[in-house]
Amino acid sequence: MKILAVESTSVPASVAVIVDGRVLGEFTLNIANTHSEKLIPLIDNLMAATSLSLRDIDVFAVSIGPGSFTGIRIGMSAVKMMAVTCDKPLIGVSVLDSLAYGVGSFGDIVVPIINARNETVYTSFYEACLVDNGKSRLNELSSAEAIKVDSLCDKIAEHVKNGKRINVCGDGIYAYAEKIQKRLMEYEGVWGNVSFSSERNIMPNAVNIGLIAFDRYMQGNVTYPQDVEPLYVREAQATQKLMNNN
Amino acid sequence: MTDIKTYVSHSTEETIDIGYQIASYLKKGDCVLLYGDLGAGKTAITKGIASYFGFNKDNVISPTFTIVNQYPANVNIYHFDLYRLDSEDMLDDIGFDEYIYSDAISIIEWPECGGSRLPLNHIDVQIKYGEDMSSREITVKF
Repeated sequence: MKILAVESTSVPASVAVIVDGRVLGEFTLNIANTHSEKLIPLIDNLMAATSLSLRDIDVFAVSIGPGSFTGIRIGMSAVKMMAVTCDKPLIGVSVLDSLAYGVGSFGDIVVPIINARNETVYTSFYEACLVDNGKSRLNELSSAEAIKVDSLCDKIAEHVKNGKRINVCGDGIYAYAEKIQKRLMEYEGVWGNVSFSSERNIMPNAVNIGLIAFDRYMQGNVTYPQDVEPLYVREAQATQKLMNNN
Repeated sequence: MTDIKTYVSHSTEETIDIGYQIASYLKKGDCVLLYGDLGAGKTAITKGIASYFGFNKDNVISPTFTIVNQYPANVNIYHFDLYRLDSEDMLDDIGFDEYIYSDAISIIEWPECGGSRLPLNHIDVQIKYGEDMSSREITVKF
């Protein structure tokens, strides 16, 4: 059972082919502002490298964000087009789910963060727990939201005070790691219980999108192109007062 | 620390020249917010900035209807006019973040319409009519 997965909602353009739940091939390019040129050739090259054509794909999977509005649309429109043309299911996966999936270990809280600019991140909190067959499952503790880095730190501190250890992942680390560390060190006993992921779990990638899609398909959660919507998460706050110096 | 410079202009040509001087303080990735009423000289300032970076000022035109114009130059320039935006959300449709957080210099007319989407770090240029309507006072806050 073959899945073609695409991730383009952040800086990396990433495509992967998953066969029966295992990675057959993956191409990832981490070059800014090139999705509109590079994504389709990346897919073409991966198909050629794996000796597959789009007609061989059983299910398509795409990252729905949150992230760059343009990046989300480029990926989703390309993959929807393929799924519709090939008349196959399309499963949409949140990039936050996919980053947390990459980290998932039991007993910890996993916090993927995507840079939303202006000291804001897209994030959600996940708790990993062990299930019967020795695998861990992630429970999302709240819905995806856009919050200021300061608020993120407050939430992290809250969980640590409740005895949890926190693993932060996602590309928000590039922009905000220093600020987060500084802020968390202001709380007593918090910083020693927080870790930052390394590069593989900082960068969004299509492999996790594909693996999650495979899990959902096997559980019977099958969707079609018309069912899949982008996950734009806008900040809940009212607009900032930027005219204050006028 | 905020640095403030003030200029006075008595003609469109002088306003363009002031734009040229302002440009000498700009670097890649900077975002300039241009405040001023209709006819104050926002596009003239933009002509001056663009010419500093090697772009022909005659090709700088008002982006009122295009929302954004792109001027390829030694440092690329994106020139916005947000006047006709119905809402901030329309900025997503044009990929606003991709422009203003890039290496290019962004110049935004009617930034009042950009609300919370404007970058935290920016340079303010305020153009006010002088007591006689033919002159302008231009204040730049870095």
